[in-house]
Amino acid sequence: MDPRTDADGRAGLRVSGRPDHRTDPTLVFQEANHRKVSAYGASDGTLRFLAMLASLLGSKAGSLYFFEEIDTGIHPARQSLLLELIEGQTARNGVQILTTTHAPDLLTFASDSTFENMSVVCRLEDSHDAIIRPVAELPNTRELRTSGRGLGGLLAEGWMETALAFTENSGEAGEVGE
Amino acid sequence: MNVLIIPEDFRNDQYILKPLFSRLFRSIGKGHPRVCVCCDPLLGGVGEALKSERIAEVVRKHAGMTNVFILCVDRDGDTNRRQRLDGLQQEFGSGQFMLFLAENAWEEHETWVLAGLDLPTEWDWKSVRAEVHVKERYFAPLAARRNLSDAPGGGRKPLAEEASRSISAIRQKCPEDFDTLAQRLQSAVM
Repeated sequence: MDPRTDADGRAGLRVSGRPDHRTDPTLVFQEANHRKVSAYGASDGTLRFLAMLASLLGSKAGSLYFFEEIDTGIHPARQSLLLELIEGQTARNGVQILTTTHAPDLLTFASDSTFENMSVVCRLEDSHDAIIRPVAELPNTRELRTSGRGLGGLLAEGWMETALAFTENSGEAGEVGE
Repeated sequence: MNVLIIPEDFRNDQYILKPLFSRLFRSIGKGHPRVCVCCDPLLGGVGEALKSERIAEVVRKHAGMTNVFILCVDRDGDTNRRQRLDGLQQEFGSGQFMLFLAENAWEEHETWVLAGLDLPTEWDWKSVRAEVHVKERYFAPLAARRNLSDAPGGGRKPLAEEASRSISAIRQKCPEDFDTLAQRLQSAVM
């Protein structure tokens, strides 16, 4: 699909600018009703979303992308759409995408395949270094992922940090009982 | 050893419970256990924290990686609360590698903090200890006097850290709750 248009070829992006006027290139959105909107009037989230769309769907698509904080500025209701796009591209075209997020909903929406490739990065208390561990290897994650508020709930309530703190170098376990 | 504290509302309680229990474990010779506070937003108040299904959910999520669960709620002047906590303890029980204890702070967790601090000389400890609204009547005024009202948790973080250095004083001044819990931990954790 041409990144400048949607599936019906109606809306699009256009970069314009005249070098002889020494102006910066201007990004303009053309909406479905042919209305043109300057990118200066778009939110950061919209611009980021469009930038990722253009990167992934453009004619010169790469094979490896790194998107930092993909949820930044993007409405929660649109996050699943972005994730769907990313998961679709990786499945269809073999594109590899590394991304980071703090958005609980994105984790909840993640497919089984994404879950298997998901890691948590955390700097534990009293530690000088951050650690990175596969989420699927944390205790009970597979079961907990499909219940309650899912992975997003676990992230939001700090469960992942607790799980890492409790399992990392857990050599000091003792017996308890009354 | 991994210890999970389950507060009735983590937002303020976390600042109190983590330092107090970390120091308590050290003081009773249990080394340096990893103490975490459960920050489940669904435990939003004592009503929720006393529900079996809520506690079951917390225990289920942390099973297999937690040695000691400690449910900590305020007593709020409710003399029947202990009975409910006993019921929860019975329900979730204990095993060789897991212990579930429940305690209610007389009358609020802030009382434990005050017990570990040097209080204004005009304050009588018996009155502080008996006060149901200790947050408003004593804790907040003390935080204001110490110019700590804007610190995390309305001053709870720095004041609880300071109080945690006087665990023996807290045990002595709060025998019905904090010291009882300390004794149970002392005998249960091997």
